[in-house]
Amino acid sequence: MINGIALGQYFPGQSVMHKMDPRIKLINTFIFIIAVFIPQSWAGLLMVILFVLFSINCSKIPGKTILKSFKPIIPIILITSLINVFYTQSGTILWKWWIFTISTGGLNKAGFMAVRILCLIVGSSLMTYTTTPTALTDGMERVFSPLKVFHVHVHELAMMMTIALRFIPTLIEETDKIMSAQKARGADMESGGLSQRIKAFIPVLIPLFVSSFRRAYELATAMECRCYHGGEGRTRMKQLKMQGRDYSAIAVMTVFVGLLIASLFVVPPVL
Amino acid sequence: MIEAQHVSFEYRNPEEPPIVVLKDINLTIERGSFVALLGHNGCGKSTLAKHFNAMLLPTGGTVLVESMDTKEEEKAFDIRKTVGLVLQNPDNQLVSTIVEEDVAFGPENLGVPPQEIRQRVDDALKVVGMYEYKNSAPHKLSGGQKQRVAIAGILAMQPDCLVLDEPTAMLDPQGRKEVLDTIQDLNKNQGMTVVLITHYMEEAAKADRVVVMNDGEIWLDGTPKEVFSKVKELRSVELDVPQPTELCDRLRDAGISLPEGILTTEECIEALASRMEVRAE
Amino acid sequence: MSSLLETKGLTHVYGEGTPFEKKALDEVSITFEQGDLVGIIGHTGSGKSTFIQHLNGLLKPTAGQVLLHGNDIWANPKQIRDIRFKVGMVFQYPEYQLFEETVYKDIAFGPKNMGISEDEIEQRVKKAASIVHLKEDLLQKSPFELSGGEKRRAAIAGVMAMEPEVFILDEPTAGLDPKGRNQILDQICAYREEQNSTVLFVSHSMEDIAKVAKKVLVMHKGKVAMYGQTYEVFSQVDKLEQMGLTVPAVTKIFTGLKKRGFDLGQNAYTIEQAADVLLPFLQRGGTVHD
Repeated sequence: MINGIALGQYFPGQSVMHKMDPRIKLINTFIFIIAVFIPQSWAGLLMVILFVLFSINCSKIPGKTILKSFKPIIPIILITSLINVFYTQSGTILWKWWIFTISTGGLNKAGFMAVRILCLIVGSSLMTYTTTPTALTDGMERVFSPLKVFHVHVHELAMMMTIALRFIPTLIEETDKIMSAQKARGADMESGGLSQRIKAFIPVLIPLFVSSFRRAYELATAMECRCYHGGEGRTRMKQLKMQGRDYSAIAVMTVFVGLLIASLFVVPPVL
Repeated sequence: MIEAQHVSFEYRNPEEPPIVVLKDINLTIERGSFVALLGHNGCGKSTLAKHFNAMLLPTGGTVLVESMDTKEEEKAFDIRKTVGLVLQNPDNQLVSTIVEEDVAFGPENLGVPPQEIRQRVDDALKVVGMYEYKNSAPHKLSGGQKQRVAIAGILAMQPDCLVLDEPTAMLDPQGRKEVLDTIQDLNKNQGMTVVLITHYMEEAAKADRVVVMNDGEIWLDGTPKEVFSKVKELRSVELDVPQPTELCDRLRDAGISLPEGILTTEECIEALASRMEVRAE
Repeated sequence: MSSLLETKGLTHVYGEGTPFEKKALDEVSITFEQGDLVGIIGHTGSGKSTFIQHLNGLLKPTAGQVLLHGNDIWANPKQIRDIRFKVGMVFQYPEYQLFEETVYKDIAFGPKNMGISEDEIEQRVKKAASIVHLKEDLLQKSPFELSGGEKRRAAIAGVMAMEPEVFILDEPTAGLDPKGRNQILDQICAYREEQNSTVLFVSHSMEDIAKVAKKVLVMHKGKVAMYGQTYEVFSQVDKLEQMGLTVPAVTKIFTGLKKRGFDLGQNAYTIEQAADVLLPFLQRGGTVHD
């Protein structure tokens, strides 16, 4: 049942992208998300598409998996497309009814936006596909560590994420157990209206909270026993070291963004 | 190694009378020894264990760890580095999503250089026999395996003494055996001082010394043979004794003369067999 | 006449059709009669937890049937809740399921779900509380204020109060000290006598099983490896050890003596029995050695 929930979307692998430094992946993904909004012409967007295809190739994630990941976002794309189709009125008018008008310009824009969103989703999900949640947290801690100057508790936030990741499976298992135990006492969690169902979950939620607090308390004790005292003076077993592939990734990204900006000047915008 | 002098401890609550948990405890843990601490739930044994690594401070008396007073706050890390505490629930003491990173947690907190952490983590995992699981996720392991990882996490801080608070209470027989074998190996082959809190008598029988607590006090203290030969006293506070010991005690009550201090099935078989052989002749 | 509780070819496969497919139960056919007191033993992963969760319909069989009084419990899936009142189940560490404001309300949760009258609920709660020796004044306390052992007993009382015909417990004594273990085992037996119900309990402690159970069910790799009277099962020391299970220490002593040539004529699995069997031999002597 609930055990089926996949945690993160990590797909184990040994590709270049899997092996990349998580910091670079984070930074590159961030740049990519912005870069997707630079092109204003189909030529520019074509470059983005090519870049995404190239990245998919680097990640060795099967195309099928990528296609599957489209599913949940199809409604979003459809809605935005529809809005774009009816909102933009330029070029030749193809169809008109009451206040709804479809024009070539509208279709053009809707298509452009749809492709852009697709690229955005695929490009950024490649990061979660190729990076374990642990590595991701680790990467984030290090990328954001300069923020310490502004008294942002980067280490503490990362520690919280790690602990959350560690305990999610444990708590899912526990929820399952408590649900079975209450069902065995005749709790009915499968029928009734919404308010009844919410009420029916109280016998599950309260024990779950109580046990989470107990776990938190015990974990805090265990961490103290292991001399935890925040990020100060802490070392790390795994050092992140930039490799050739990381520098190449930076270079590729720089060229990509450069080309996109250049395209703004060379090709006139479509919209 | 550890010295408790007139230690008392009470939980103080402003509105209610204080709850006395420990009363005038005097106990010395020798270096390299294997001490089992026995007693009912609520007899104060876990509270005492938390005094050994400065997680709790005595309300009266002193606890010395390698001559360091646990009351000195700046010594807390040195004390916890010397006396490692393993808790009952293996699930609630693992911090990380990957076994080796969890084991590294302690030394990372101590600021050990990365190269050395790697070495310590590998060594600790090998000692507890979990090296091949170093890249596994803790929630995929069995209870016994998780508890061994927890022990490795403490070992990576290179303590001189290991205090284990009912480490086997939540495990199945297989897991219990794994953990107990690990503890025995650490004591025998690595010279680790071990304080094992348990209510399994068979586990306590494997120690060099058994300390029985009752109602916040040390009640019996001696070798397993000495302590478990007091079957009637232990029974009077509803503590178990190993089955062979109890069987021999019953037979002795019925007028059969058998040697004192029988703990294991082998010893019992031996004693009964030789007794019957004598009769047979 | 049909048996009280019966399984026929009960099979359960986890994650069917996925790469993680695992057969947890493999054609288990077994019968429990009214008044049986059965200890269930087996390795972790032997399928015993999966098995007991089928008996009250928490899990649905992949194949096969569970029959209560001769009727398939899944004949009408909408009625499965009624089955759970007749076949009561206490999970491992049941104290973690307590949630109500007072101990009384928590014990009353099950009976309330059954839809019985307030008067009868009160009667049942008080009866269950007295079986597990929870004092009346504790009933108005919050369950979270109780001690560990009291919490466990309150949780067990919560299932007892439903007065199930079959009472199943998964490791009821796990994590308790010897005193708490003995109390709970005594209370389970007291419930059985009171209600003349059937009790099944899973335990890793052979000593507990030996002390209490009349019959023993041994599960191994999803199948019934042995099922019989306690003395019959514990006499097969070698077979149990092959499955990675132990026998009570006294049984080991008897087997050890037999290997040394002392045949005592019968086996023993509790200390009382062992002493009774041994005494005549030790006092008389002479006749045992061949």
